[in-house]
Amino acid sequence: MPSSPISSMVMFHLGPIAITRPVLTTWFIMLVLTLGSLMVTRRLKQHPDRRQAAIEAIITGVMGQIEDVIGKDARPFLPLIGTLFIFLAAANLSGVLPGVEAPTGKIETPAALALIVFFSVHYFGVCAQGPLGYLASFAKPKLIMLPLNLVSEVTRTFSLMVRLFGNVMSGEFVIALLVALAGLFVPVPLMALEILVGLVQAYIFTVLATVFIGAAAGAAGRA
Amino acid sequence: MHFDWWTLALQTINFAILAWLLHRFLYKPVLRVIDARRAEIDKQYADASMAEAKAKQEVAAVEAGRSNIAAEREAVLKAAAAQAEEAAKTRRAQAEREAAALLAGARKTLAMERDQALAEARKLAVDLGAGMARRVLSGVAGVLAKVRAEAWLGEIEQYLAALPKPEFKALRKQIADGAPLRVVTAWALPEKATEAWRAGLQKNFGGQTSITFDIDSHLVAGAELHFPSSILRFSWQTALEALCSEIDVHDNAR
Repeated sequence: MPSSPISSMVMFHLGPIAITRPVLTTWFIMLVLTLGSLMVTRRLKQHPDRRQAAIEAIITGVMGQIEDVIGKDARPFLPLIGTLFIFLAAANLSGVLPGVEAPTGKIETPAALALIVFFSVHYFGVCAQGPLGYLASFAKPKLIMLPLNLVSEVTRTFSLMVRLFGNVMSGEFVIALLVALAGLFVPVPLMALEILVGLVQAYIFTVLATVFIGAAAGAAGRA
Repeated sequence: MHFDWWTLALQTINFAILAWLLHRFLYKPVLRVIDARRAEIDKQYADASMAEAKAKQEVAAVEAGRSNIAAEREAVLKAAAAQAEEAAKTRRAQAEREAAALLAGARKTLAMERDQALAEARKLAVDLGAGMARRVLSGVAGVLAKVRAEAWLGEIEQYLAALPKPEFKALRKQIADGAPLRVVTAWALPEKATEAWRAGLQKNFGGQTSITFDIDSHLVAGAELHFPSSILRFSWQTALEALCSEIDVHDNAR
């Protein structure tokens, strides 16, 4: 039994590795998303039907957002940023399903995503400006800004993690409390609100990650 | 609060795997279709641009052809107008020539008719004058025959004396074989004058010459000597005719 409701419940062990509930849920989400991708891309046609048009609209919309923020070709960034948005949306909304806890409601998943964003920012920064150029960008606009820039790299990643974790976890707590106190149908409006919050948080996380990556890749100024 | 590092690691790996899976099974196929469609659209745009350019070229060619047609039409119209103007000018010149010829012909005809009318009028006037003179003279011809008989004989003798000898001989030869010499007067000569005439004429043509006297009132006055094959005219009728002829000759010469 976990000592805290916000701690991840271990479902089973694979050797020394403890498989927690968020990991299982994530696998389930990965399976659904992969099978869904295979289904929707199975019969792609030059003249799209409604299903294909919706998929293309989502992907081109994500690419448009990336290009608006970064100002460059979105294709190198699409696998990371697009997957971030899709996974976050799916993970946040999975909490609405009965008996399912959103993986992002536990601290490890937002931390993992924030960690990925942290390293991706540096990866794309180095790719765009070179190692020295990227390192030099931390000392801009003045050398005195170097400590603050270094600190901000950590704090903004931390804030990404905490913002996502706090919003999703608090929403689930509120719904769970209302279910316990008022019955089955009372939390339905709050669940609808939770859907909205989940999508908004997925969007915010994705846009912030895009801004960080774009700032590093374009050196337009540190976010 | 417990932080599970295995979960952190697994979720990180899970996300990386999911990113690869979605890239493999979602983004790539969809982007491939979008790219193919965009290429198709670009190709259609290019084809449309080519078709547009071709259409513009054809429009330009048609416009050029139309302008050529217009120019050709203008040239044909101009040539036709020039030809029509030339034909009109030629016809006008021909009409003017014909009109001038008609006018000249009409003037000539008019002049001829006027001259003819004038000549006829003059001839009528002369004839009228001659007739009037003839009538006036015929009234006094009887008296003249008595008064002027000797004078007319004198004129005849003067004429015969002035004739060249061959001609006079030819006259005498006509009456040499007894043929009569006929003296024609407008009025009968008095007997005394008749004898004088016979004596005078026989004096010129010989004493055996047969001389007869006749009367022709048309002679007005004077006399005529009728040889077998010729006539010597000394009558006023002849004088009037000669006068009229002289007037005609004079008018024609004018």
